[in-house]
Amino acid sequence: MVEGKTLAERLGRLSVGLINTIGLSLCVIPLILIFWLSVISNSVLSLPAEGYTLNWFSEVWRQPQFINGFYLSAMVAIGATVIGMLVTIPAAIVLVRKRFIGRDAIMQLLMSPLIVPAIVIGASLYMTMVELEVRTGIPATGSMVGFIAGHVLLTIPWCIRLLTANLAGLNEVVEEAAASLGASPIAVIGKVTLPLIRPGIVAAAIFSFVVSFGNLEVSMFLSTPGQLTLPVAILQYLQWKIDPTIAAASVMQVTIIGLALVITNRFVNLSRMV
Amino acid sequence: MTNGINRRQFGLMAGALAASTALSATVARAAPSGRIVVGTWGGDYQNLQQQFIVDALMKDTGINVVFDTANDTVRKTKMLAERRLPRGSMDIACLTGQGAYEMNKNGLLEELDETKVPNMKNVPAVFRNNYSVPHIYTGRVILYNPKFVKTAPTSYKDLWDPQYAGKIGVIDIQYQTTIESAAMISGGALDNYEPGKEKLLELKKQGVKIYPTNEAMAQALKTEECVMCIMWNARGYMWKKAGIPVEIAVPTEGLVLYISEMCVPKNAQNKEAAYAYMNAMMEQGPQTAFAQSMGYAPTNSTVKLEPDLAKLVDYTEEQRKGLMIQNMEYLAKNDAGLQDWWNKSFKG
Amino acid sequence: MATVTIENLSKVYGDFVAVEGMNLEVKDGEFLILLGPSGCGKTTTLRMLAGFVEQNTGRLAIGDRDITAEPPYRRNIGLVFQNYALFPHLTIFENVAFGLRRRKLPEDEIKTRVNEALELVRLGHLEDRYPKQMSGGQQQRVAIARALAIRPDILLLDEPLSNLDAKLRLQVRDELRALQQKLKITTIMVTHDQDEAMYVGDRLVVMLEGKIQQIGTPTELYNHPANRFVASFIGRTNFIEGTIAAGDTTFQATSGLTIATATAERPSTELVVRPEMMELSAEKTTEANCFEAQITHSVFLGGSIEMVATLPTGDSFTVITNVKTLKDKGLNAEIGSRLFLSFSPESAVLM
Repeated sequence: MVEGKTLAERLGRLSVGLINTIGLSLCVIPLILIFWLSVISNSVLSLPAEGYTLNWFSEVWRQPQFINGFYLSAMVAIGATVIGMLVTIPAAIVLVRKRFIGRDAIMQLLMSPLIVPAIVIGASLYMTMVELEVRTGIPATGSMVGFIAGHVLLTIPWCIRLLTANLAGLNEVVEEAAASLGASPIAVIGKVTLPLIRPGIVAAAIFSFVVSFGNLEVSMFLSTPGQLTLPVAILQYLQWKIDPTIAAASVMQVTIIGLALVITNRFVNLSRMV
Repeated sequence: MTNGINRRQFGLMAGALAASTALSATVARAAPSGRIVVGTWGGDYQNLQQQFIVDALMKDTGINVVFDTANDTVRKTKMLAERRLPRGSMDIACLTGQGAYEMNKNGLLEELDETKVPNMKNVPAVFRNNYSVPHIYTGRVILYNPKFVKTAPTSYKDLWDPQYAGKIGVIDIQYQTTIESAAMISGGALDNYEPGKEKLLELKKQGVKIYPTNEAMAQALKTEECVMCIMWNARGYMWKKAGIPVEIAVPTEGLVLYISEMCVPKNAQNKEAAYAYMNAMMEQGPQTAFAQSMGYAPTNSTVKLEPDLAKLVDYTEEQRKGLMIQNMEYLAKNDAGLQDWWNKSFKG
Repeated sequence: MATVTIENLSKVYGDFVAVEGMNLEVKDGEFLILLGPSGCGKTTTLRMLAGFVEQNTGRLAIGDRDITAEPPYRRNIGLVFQNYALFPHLTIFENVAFGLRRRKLPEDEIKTRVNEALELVRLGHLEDRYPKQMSGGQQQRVAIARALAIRPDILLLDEPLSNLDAKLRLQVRDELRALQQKLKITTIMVTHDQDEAMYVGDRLVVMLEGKIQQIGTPTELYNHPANRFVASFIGRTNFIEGTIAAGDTTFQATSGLTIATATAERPSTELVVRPEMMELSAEKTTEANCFEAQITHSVFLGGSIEMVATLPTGDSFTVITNVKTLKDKGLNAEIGSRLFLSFSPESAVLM
């Protein structure tokens, strides 16, 4: 029952409901479609379905690059997330709390990986590493360190955005209260600032993980020879075959990541926004 | 993954490699061994190499193969970027014919001949050059759905037949070959695509469908939204095998060649092993495997395919003589303009 | 418990002088109010005392302890903020225990002191709640308990009542005053509300444009404002311009009105009379200052009535009187009524 006094009001509520429904559907439909495509028996990813089968899932297991790729992607994403947080949390605190010349410029600079096409980032990083190698002799290209560093770069804008937004929303007076009660600057950050921006930290970590996990372009340039991330493996598979195996791989990816988030939620209680 | 290695192993190996390359300068021509990195397309292209070369032929040679999987554009960018490195990241780079040409133009490729890769002597002259080893090849053909196209097409002209208007598709990323094909039936040539543009605009008027990628085209053929297209023979073979309702027709204008090359960058670290690997790529086993599963014809003229398979993927002596090779110089010079025209005038 | 010494304190932001050459001695156990309009420098002064703003010049001391260069966390000052500034992620108990934990006190002592502090503000039963589960008044009481739990040398209050609604404000104000008197802790409170200031403050410091205008008890400030600003800021006032020479007892207003005053110590050009000091009557009185006037404006405020009485000279006086007085005298205070207005020479304060 739609409540409302006038016809216009009812129509207004109806249209809001409709927009919400459409919006939500647009978000969910592609996901449902992937689940559906992963069980159709067509040998080419296409509709209508000729029948249904679970064979594509066993096909994923027969493709070692998907399993290894998933593992590598997860490890790189976790590494990039952890390092990214260690770098961006202090940076965000300084950016929000301190006033200094060039602050806005630095902020823009840290945001820039968002607007530069990822393929350009990948190529530029590769060239930078070559340059480093030419000058120092340190084997940077194809090293795991360089690979993860590239992914950290991708996560930085998201972390900075989310963390600075959270920090800006945090009333500084609370930190002053802590200081007046005898908390040293380190204690203020540890006991007050970080706990209070936890929603931002969790959101930034999730974004970082997802951005790193899904990245294709930077991985293609920087991955260590012999090691393939899942998105690269899927893309490469797709060059020669267009059967629903990739849909099955995606379903497994979505499921595992989804489960991981649910479990994480249990431990850190993501939804408890202070 | 069998060839996955961790950081520590990598470090050890890199050290061993440095030592071995230093040694190879003094100890002439010992049996090649050590680690080589093969920059290649992934998916089946890599899996077949793993299965038919690494596992079947390289196993006891002491050559340890690591695949660096990426698209050829990434590979080319990497090669250009690392030209100044004494220690390149790849020992072998798999490139398209055009890609190999570009890299050679840039002076990045090691000179190759049959003293280094003995199987090169079995390569027909049409494929030969002094900077790459042709791995596999295929010709450009017409794919059609016999349910809708009752008489098999014989020429690219048949795509312009008004009775198929609205059912013909072209592929966005294949703008070069599409313009080229149109040029071949409108007075152009492999060094003059200009007439093809006018011809394509006619096709546009008839309601041509433009699909972003090869994969999207395959799906359109499967759903019968598109009934005829220009495609590589090998793809046609793979799609047919996957149950897409298409037949393959060779155009009378001639077979334009697609070729997959293997090159050795000048700064490769283990060239001897790279030559051995490339030579193995030309052997009967791997060549047959690529023909069988991906539909590419062998470049080694001594390789004999089963007659049934040969009929689908290989070419007769007659056809082979007529194989046409794209004009790399023309393409390198005109690519930007072609792409621009395609995006603005044809697609726009 | 301690005295507070502020010597030659200044703070400049760009071209804006927030505090200029301020000197102040706060007595042990005193409840001192920094009062003034926004931008007068009162909050900056408080923040310099707390250590959050670095002064350009000056010296600060609590008792004998010079705190000029001490960081905030070593000053041992209890702070209460306008918006409570409780830690939203901690329970009430942990909020109050926060300062004690920083001091690494043993757990049982923390418990005792938290309970003591919460009992002081009568919130001992709510120690397991989170701040957002409490009303504004309760939150501010927790903030006070938290500040007191560390047994600070002095207590600083920054507009502590401004975020509370009118009714609650009076209640918390009363509690604050009672608590301060009970603990005898030296307290400095910043406010812009003169009623609040006069109610709780032992002494008031009126500030304007970074400078102290006057320091004194509420009565001193009310009866003997040092200047026009203080007179206008503390209570309602009638200003009359004119002249009086030193030693004289007659103020000649520019309007032509003649007002009897106490003997002038120095020449003056301005005179103030508090509206409450005015008396209305139907007949002429014997008071030295008695003028016939017409009521031109009248507002009923419940217990009291505020009127404007206009003299034939054109001078207008605001008069505040209560309903009972009017009734007892049988006066009609409607607009247009003609009455007599009188005040003593002592009520006419020369500036």
